[in-house]
Amino acid sequence: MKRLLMAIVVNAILFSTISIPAYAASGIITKSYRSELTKGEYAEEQELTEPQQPEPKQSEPTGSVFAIVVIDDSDDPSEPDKEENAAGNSVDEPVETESEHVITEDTKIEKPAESEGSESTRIEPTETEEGTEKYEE
Amino acid sequence: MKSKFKTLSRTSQATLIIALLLCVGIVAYAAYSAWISKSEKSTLTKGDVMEMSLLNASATGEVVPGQSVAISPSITNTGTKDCMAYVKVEMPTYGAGADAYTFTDNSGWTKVAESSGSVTYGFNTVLHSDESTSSLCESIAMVEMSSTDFKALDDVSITVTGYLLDCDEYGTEVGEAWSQIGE
Repeated sequence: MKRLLMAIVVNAILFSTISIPAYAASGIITKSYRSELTKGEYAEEQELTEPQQPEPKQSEPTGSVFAIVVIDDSDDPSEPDKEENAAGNSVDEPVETESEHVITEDTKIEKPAESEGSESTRIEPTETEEGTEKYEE
Repeated sequence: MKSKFKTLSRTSQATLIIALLLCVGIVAYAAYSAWISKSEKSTLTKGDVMEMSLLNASATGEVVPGQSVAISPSITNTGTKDCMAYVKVEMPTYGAGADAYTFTDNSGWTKVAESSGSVTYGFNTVLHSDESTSSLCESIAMVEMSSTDFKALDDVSITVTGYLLDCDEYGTEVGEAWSQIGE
């Protein structure tokens, strides 16, 4: 019984004296902290980012819609002309057509005079003939 | 005296005898100790102790992508040995193993190891007793990620571990000292 007690005491002393230098001999000590973080609500921020995307979409329709409306209104009557004149100068044609309309409106007053004049020129030979007759006379 | 002793009961007599024997034993042990005792003075010196404090290495609360967490770890050498200081930051990953957090290291620190979900920095100079490192960073921020990746994260916690390596055993070069411990 005494030997057993002595063995226990001696082993305890040896373990304590040997284990402490072994730990110190490692030459490393560490200390660690863990941050207990949790996930926040991220869906709310997603909703805030989504409305930012439609903003450029709103600017796109405003420019293109006006352009389409202007082109559609002006091109409806002139579409067949564009198709017919597609091989030629399609850009200049609307300008020409507009100018032609303007000119024709202006010339409607003049053209009958010209046409009448042309008709009168047909008479002119008779007049000239008469004139010549008169001139001859 | 003898007649008085006889008048006591047998129990009292026994108790008195035992008390007298104890007194005699104590006196005899004291006399023996005084006679044979010897005194010796051990000449011991203080050994070096390795101790450290890891400051500003944890935080609590909720975090979302793009949000910063107030973690700015630094180490103080509270022991007596000259040491090299290191800080390892372990974090979750998302997608194909990308780190979920990022930070900008301050001057004086060198990255000595990096892997998916872990990065280790070492302080460039020897840390003497009672000296402190600068903070590794001002804060740690969760990177921007999709809601799908964010939902897939099971754990968003960050673990910061501080290390002190004995200069006598591992040297004073920050990279070489860390490579010796194999972490």
